[in-house]
Amino acid sequence: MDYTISTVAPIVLLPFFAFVINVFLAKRVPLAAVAISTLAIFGSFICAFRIFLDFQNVYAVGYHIHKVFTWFDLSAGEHLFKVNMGIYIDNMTAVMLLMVTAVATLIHVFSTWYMHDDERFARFFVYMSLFTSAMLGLVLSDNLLSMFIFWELMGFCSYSLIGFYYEKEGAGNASMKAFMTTRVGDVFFLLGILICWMIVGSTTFVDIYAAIGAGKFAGSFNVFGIALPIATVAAFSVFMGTMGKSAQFPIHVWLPDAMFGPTPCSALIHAATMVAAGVYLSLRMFPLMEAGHLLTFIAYIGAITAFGAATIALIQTDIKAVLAYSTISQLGYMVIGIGVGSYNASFMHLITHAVFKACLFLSAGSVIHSIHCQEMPQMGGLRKKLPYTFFAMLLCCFAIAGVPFFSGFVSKDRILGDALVLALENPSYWGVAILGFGGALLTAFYMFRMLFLTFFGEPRDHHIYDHAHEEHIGWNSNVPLLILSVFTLGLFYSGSFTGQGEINLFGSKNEWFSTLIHKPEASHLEHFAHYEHEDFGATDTRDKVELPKAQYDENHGMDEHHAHWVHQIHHLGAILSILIAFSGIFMAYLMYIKKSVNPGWWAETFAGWRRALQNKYYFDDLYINKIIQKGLLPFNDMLAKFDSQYYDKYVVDGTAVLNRWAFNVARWFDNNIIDSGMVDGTGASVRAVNLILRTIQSGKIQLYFIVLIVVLGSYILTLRF
Amino acid sequence: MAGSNCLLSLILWMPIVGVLGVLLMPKDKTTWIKAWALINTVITFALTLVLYAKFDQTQAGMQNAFNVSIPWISQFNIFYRLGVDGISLPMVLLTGLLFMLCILSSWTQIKKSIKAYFALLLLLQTCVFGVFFALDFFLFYVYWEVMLIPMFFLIGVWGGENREYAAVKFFLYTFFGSILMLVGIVALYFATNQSVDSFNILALSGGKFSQLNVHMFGQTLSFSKLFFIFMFIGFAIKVPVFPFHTWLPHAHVQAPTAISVILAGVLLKMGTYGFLRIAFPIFPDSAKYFSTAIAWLGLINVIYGALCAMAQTDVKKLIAYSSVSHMGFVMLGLSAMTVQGLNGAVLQMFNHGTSTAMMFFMIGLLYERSHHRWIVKPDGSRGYGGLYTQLPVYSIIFIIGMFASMGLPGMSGFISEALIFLGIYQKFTTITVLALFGLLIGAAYLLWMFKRMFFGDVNPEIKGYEDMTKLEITYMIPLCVAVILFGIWPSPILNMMKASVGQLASLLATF
Repeated sequence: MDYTISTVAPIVLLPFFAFVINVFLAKRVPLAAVAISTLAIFGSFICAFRIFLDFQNVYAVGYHIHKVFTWFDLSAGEHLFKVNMGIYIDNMTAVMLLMVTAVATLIHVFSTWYMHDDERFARFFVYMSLFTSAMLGLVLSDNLLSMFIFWELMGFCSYSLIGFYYEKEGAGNASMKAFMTTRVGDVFFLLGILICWMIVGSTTFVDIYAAIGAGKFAGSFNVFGIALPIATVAAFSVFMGTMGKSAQFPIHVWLPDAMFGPTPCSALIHAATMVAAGVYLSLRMFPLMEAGHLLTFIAYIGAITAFGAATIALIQTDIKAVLAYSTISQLGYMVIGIGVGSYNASFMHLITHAVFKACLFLSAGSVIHSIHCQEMPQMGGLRKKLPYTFFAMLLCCFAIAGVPFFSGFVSKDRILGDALVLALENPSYWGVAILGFGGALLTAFYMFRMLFLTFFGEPRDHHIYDHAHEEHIGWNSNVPLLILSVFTLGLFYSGSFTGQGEINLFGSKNEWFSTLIHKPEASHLEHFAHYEHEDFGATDTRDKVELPKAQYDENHGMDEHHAHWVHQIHHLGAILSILIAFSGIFMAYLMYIKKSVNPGWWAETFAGWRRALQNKYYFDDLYINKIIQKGLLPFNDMLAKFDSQYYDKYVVDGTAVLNRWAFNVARWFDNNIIDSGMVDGTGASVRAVNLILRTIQSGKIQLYFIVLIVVLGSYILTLRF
Repeated sequence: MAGSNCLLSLILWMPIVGVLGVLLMPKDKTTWIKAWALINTVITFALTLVLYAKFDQTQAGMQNAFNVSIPWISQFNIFYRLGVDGISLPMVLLTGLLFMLCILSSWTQIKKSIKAYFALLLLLQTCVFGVFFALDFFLFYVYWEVMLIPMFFLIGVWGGENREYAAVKFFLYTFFGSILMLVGIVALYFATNQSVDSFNILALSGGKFSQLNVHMFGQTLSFSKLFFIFMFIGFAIKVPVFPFHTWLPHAHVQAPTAISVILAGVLLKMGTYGFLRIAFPIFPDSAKYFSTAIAWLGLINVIYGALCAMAQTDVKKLIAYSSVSHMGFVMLGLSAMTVQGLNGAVLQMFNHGTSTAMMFFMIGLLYERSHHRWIVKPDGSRGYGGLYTQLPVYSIIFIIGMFASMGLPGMSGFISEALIFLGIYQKFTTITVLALFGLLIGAAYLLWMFKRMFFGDVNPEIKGYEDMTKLEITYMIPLCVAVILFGIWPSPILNMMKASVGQLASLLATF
């Protein structure tokens, strides 16, 4: 396949042009705007699918497309400085593009149903188009700077969509909170970009890899007189970007509030794609994280997030809040994956999570749309009214809980297996493994709690239940959910049923995912210096060359003995995962179906914990009430008061007092010494000077100026002639 | 004078033709006056575009094709010297554009003494062009000073309730700075032995005074350092750099909308332009010597301005403090003295001109409808609230301006800020880290303001507001286009300036 502008650029540009057109069209012809947005993203999907097929077929090691153009050039004289932009497609990009476009297309289709009676139907699609183009631009970026640009644009779209129902007071707070919290991470991310830019001379990924390989990040970073290892600072700064965007502890607080937006946008932005972009960034910058010795820190951040968010999800009653906390928790698992070095599984979890979480959100949207209520205690028994939604959600719950044969099991189990392996090798990782497995137990429990409360049992609010519409198959209402739910099956990702490569089905390529995605190994970073790139218009001819095909390596580059041991641990981990998933589901079953365990008893016994969970561990309270309300705002008020009431009033205007004093001295001198001590004849001229002084003092600037100009003018004139 | 040579003079004196025309018109024919002023500024803007078209982007320094040099006061070797280079051209284009839009915005907003207002506004335009074109130090000073007169009246007559105080304060403060500059001019005049080039800015520059000493109060001081400080204060007041910034909130808040726009959009840039054109090239050694101090002052501007902005309840004052903060970024870029930092600073001067002009225009429009500017009224009730619902078109344009001002990537402010950070990071790591938090606070005060004014249910007081009229939309569109276009494609502005800025960076690098 030939990668010219015509095949790659439309992926980003189609939604972008849809956005530009729709800005003008949305108000006049809403339906056309909706159609244009949806068709545009579908067009992107077609292009992305072609690229994916190509990469899937090539299956080559290190096959990549890198095209570059100059964005702007500041070179002048001996100064050389140029900023390049470009696209970089490797196996990871190809998979990511397919996922984003596919999920976005289905969500666009779903939104045509979900949003159609909203008065701002078309405007929603305007933002969605901008968002998808920004997200796809981020995925295609070959450098950190353009990634940051798209990253912030997504932040803007997220801000606008959270504040979509702007009549509500809460929407304003939530959107501002989301933007500001992620911006905390973004500021660090920008610092990380600056550091890389300075050291490497560009922000292109391959250049950064090569620079790490060449040991350029060995220096130190001096701030406030403290010298820190520069690789660690750069890695930490970039990872802060991930923490902000992917809602990692302790700046996770914005994501639950982001549910103020319409549900399809929650599905696309705050579950499937944008929040995963943080993880994608860390995966791209994995060599830097490794070089900065940050992996243990990352693993613990992920573990705390995965477990902590899962505990909060236990007691939520709002269906979207459960999903929001489960998103945070699952993002935590991806971050654990980065931290324990299971690059492949972390990325796989990103993809599988995007599919099942998008489906979960759309199902929740379908429920909300039919009963106009988000509170689970008022639902119940909806299985009969919403059979298709129920089916989709059931599959997704199996997937997220980690039931075998489902996608979540395949990916999460590998992360946890690797965490277990690492914990056995290095005891400092035990905390990660324990929190990871513990979180898995809670995940299975709270997801099935949600499922049971919503769809099983007797309707708890008959008014709501009776008003719910019977669900029928509709191309834009539940077909997208059903399509997504099919892809929660693990075999699509592992090529086999178990995820361990034992049973092949339909002749699928065994472990295509593992074969396709490779960690940039620390020992091979130097060869990135030889990665070629060509100009944007240039035609790629390499597809005619026979490329070495990658083979699935059962041992993952380890020696036979070690690999055997690792496989054993992985099997152990898998058994543990399965046990944990089923015990979580069983607990939920006992509590909410069989009702043999009373949740109320647990709530009373652990009342203190429950209160902490209800207050989300007091993070909101700490940030908003303590740090902002009690710290920052009073400080600002004090500063502003100092500026206008003291500094301006006394110091600046105080010079006038000084002036007046000088004037009084001059007058006294004038009256008592010159006037009375000298002849009266000179007095007249002194008085004239005094008059001018007084004039300035009285603030009649015009007069002063007239004098100035007259004097100046006459001076110039006399000189001229 | 023939060919391109007279182009600069034409741009410079075109508004004066406008002033004469306005003065000749009868007082009650207000539409004629407005139309004449508009036509005049449109022609001026068209001429600046012609200048842009003829400008050779590859040439560094002053472009000989446009230079003008005629003896004016020969006894003192004072010349009428005009010139344009890559640093002044973006400012000239910005001036041409903003004055044209300001005439449109004043169309309905100004109700008293229309004739005098438009005459003064056009006079102001000539003075601003004069500052950006002048290559003779004396000429520069004359324009710099004369500009105060129309500014004084425009604030003092057409301003808000506390206009006299603000006008006098603005005047005296700036005047104080000018006097220091004048001392510097006189000192340079004598230091160069009153030669032909004593007022020639180009001839003075290049660091000729680095070895010179001056005796004062029995001390031997470095000539260059002493007068750099003088010039610095003169220009710093205009920027304004902390601690000389307190005139700005008063002047901005009291000035009528168009004048706030000119003040924030163009006049503040004259301060930083002064550094680039005069203080840095003439005293490059001292500029280098004081660069750490300048960087710290810039940092204080960024953080202090942003924090003060956050505490404001008057929306116009909030934007005024945000100007303090954003001009701090320019100072940071200047103090870096690297090619990225300086390019970033000049680009930021242009971008801040467009984005902050948008913000002041938008607030002016709101003020026309509400006749107050309180985000939170002094009694604690909300001043607006729900504007998004009531004024949808207005809100969208406001969002564009706000995010451009915040430096959202994809909007113009981002590129300049990124370049500035890149430039300064090479020199001052600690300052870079701290200044980055300026971005955070910058987003915070704007979003918080937006949340309080635009979200929520509709405040009953704003129920009667009308959305933007066609005229209002018309004059906001060029700015919307500018902030988005130059955010995606900054090359037109950067290509213009890079040769000249590179030359300045090379000069500074040799010291």
